[in-house]
Amino acid sequence: MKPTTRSPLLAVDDLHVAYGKVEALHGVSLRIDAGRIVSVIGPNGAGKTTLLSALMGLLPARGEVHFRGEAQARIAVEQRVGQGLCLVPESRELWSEMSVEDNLRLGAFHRSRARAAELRADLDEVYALFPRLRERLRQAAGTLSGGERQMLALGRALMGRPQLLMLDEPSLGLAPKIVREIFHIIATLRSRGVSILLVEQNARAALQVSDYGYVLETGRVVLEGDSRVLANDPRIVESYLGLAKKAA
Amino acid sequence: MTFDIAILLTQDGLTNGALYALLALALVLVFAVTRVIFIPQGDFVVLGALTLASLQAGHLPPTLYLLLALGGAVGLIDAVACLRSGRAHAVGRVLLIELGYPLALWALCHWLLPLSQSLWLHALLTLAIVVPLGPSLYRLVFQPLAQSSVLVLLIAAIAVHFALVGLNLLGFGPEGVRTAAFSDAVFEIGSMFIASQNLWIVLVSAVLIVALYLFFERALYGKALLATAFNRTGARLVGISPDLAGRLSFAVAALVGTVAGILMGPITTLYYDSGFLIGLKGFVGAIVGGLASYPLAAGGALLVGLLESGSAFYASAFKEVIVFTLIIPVLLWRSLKSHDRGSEE
Amino acid sequence: MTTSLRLSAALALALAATAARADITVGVVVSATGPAASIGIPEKNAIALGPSEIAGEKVRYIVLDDGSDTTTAVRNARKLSSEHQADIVLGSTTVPTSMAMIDVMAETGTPMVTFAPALALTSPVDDKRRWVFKTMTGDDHELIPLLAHMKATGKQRVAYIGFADSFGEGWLKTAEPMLAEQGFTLLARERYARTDTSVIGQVMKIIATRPDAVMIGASSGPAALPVMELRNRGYRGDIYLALGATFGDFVRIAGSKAEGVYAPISPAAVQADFPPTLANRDAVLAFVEAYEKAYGAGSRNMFAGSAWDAVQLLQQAAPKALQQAKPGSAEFRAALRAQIETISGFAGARGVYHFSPSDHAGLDRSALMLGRLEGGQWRPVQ
Repeated sequence: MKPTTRSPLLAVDDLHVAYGKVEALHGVSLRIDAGRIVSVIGPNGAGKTTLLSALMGLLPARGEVHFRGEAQARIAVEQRVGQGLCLVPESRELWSEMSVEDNLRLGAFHRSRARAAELRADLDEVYALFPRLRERLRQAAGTLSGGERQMLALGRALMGRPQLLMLDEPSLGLAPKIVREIFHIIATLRSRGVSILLVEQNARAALQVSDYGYVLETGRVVLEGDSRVLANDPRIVESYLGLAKKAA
Repeated sequence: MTFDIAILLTQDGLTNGALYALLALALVLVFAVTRVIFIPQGDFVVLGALTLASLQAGHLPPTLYLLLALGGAVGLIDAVACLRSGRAHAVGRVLLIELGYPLALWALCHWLLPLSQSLWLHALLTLAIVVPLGPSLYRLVFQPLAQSSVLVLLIAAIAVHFALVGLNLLGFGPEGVRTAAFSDAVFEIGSMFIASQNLWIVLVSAVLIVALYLFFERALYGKALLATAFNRTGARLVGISPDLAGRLSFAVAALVGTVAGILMGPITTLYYDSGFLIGLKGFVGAIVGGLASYPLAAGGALLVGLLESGSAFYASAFKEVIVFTLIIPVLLWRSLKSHDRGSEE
Repeated sequence: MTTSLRLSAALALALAATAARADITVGVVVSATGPAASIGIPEKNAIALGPSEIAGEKVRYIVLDDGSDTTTAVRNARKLSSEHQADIVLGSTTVPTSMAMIDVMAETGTPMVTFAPALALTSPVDDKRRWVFKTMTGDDHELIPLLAHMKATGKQRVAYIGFADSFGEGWLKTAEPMLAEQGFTLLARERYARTDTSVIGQVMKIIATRPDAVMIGASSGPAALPVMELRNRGYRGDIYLALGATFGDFVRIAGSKAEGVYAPISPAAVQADFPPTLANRDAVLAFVEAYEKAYGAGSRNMFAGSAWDAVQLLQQAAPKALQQAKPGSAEFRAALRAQIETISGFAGARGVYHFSPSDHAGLDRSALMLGRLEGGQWRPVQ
């Protein structure tokens, strides 16, 4: 399925990101339509995390980024959050000293003007999605297991009611059973109207859950296409899926 | 040493310790949120006391000019920033807030000063004048340096300290001040006397500490401050701006310093340059808490207060030596037991 | 005209000017800015009242400011000697700045009259200090009237609290042998810092020793802290302060709590009718009249008195020195020094001066009198 011609949710054109003099992304272009899950796969060091950081505004970048039709170049991270962009980084960035519930409530920080009842409802919804978080709501986030931490990171992101959720390696370091659970949840999120940009080394799982895929290698998009088509592309099968099978 | 003297020294130690505890908490907060070692913390104590004294003397405090100057500078910078980011419509609002507030306060002081001699009114005006200086200083000095190393931030803090001392001298002169006491009453409990001013200090400090606790425990903005302190990136990702957190933490620090100054004014003579040593004693308390733990910092500050009054009795010639030497065993102990400092880097 | 020609013409003119000038050149160094400015400015004011002619010779004053800084004081001293061929140097204001200038004065053989208090400036009179005289009272002068009063009112047991710095330690060091000699018992030696916010601990310890009197080695505003604490804690005995408490912020800060405390005062600074027995009564009145005429009623102070006296000493010594040599020469400077050394029994605004080859501190032991704070004013105790 090709992206449609109407204005996409996120449009990235010719994005360059450099760490000092070393350029890590050499002109990446991609687009995400509302209600879609788009995955970016590629080997370690291809620039996937850099891409997400730049889209979030954590790294300075050159090139055009439009979110809901608005140029993002001069907008700070916090304002992007306010517009509905949300990143769950690979390192989770939770507050391990604070309780699970505090972590979740702070996820809705930029919606602090929302009514208390509305926030309560959102909180219940997150607990419904991740029942294990409800069991641990008074516990400090630092005491959670790896899978629970990933759930908390996802839950915190959802509390912000994002329009586009960017997930960086949600399966990293998790047991296979938990990975399946996480991907199952990602699939259900789409049904709630959240668009997702998914960055994964686990190419098989990513292509299974997504509608469209990009392959990033050494800072360039080398291949893109409908996920089902990509999953059967011999180059992908050879370079990624074999490897991913072992990892999963 | 008789029992009476012990009671009296403890009372003195706890009174000063309560004030140092307030300062220690503010220092820990500012450091955790912004990584600034806030040397000018004590200068806010002096600003509070001197401003209150000049209000009590019926003068317009020179702090108003400082507020206006800083407000003007912040307004200008923010207005330029608005224009650059293409939000021209916000310029008027920014200027109105930054310049309108000091001017309105000025008018209010003009109008109210001849009308009322109430201590409460003067204390409120002092808070209204001095506290906004904190966030303005953050905006002007520390926000542009937010990405710098702790050392650069420390140097900037020292520069701000010297600037404030100089401005204090310029505005208030070299004379020391003592403000009128909240009340001169003395309570007698058994054989001991308690000056009501000391009770005020301990009570207000305790109330403020509880209020701060509730702010961090209950209020969203308090939690947001803690969140920034614990994990800056995480905070940014949920939309908590580090600039906002920085300004907020400086506002809390300025509030705490000003309250300490208002409380301290009647029991001691404060000079334009008294702030540094007062702040330093709060800092010793904060160091006991490793610049990270609030209860330990408050406990350390109380310890400093008690140690101070005890050593003033036993070996007054070595009082400062004893108080500041407290840092060495504490640092030794901390460096021996801390191997996991990497977690916050 | 070539450059060299122009230069030599200028040089000739300059030489002519030097040769033509037989005026007495008075170099003055004061701390008119910086931390000691409040002391340096009245000194400068008093110098401005100096005579324009002594024994028929014109007097030229060159006043330089050292900014309370020792390096600048030395530079000024050198400038006064080498550029202006000063015949005498008056100043400087503080002990450190004056101390720093001594080497230059001894090296160039120029007499110097300092306004600073420390005895170490003039004692012992060695190769260098033989050029230095002073017109300011020292710690010993301060303690004499205090101890005399303590003795007269039958006090025996004394406690001390003072600054934990050179000021307080110097005062205590001078006081200890004097107290011992006169049979007083020193019960407690407490210290505090100028910046301290509380002295409860020290005061409790002092009160516990039940002293007949408390002596406070502190100056200006910070001297108020122990006085207030002593009174707050119910101490009703007499309190004796240093001269430093009679100026600056002490009275304003201590307020009514300080009523009745004692301190040494200088006649040159007090608003009062002096007893006719006061040895330097006429000199004080002359100074007060001249100074207050120029700077307003109530402007009298002891610092101006010291500077005034320095000029008076010059006026005493110069006529005889002029008979021996011409101003601007090393011989004149040496003669001036020798003449000042012979001044004895001369009454100035600060007291009666007795200089001798072994004593360059000069001021009589009775230069300060006992004062008592009454109604916010220092009044002499008869």
